[in-house]
Amino acid sequence: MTVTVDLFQQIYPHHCIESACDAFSHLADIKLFPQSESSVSVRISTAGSETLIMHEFLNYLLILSIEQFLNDKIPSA
Amino acid sequence: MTTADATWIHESPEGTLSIFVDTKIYSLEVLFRTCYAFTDRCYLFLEPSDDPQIIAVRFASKSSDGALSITAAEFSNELVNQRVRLDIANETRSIRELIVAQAFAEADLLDRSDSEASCVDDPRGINTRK
Repeated sequence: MTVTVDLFQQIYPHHCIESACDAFSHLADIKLFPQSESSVSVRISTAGSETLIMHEFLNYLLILSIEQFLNDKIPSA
Repeated sequence: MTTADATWIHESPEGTLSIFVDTKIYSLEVLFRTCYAFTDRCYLFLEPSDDPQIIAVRFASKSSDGALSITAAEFSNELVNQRVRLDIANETRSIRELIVAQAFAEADLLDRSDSEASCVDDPRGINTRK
């Protein structure tokens, strides 16, 4: 089963998407398809529950993106 | 509580909910901090809407207890909470930075010549005022 979702890099930075893909690579086959400068399409294929995997993937990716955003806001010494 | 009680919460046919957040009112930082607090309670997905300053927040339930509309409503309240927290943090930034700097500084950064001076010295010239 396969699900596809479009991610906007204003919210989800590209390196966070790649990190999340690496983290979930043992659970599903995840492929990235660049759509434009600002968006990338993610296709998740898995033998299990693809909706659950996708939801967990998106939450994990959101946490990575938020942590990155907040780290960038801390002024460097 | 149902989505009919909270008209700003939109229900999709698949059973997910969404709200639209104006980043002019709730900045991306406020939105992200709020999302961070809710990722343990529900699944969240953010995407821009047709208007680039409006972010759509999609909610999906982690359990089948049907409390997603309550979660979405609490998320809306938490947006206000985080906005107020950020405003207060900005208002009090300079004094907090001064307190931390003073705590870690070997030298005293505060000018205490007035507050700790002797009344006989009268550094503010209070005695000379009529």
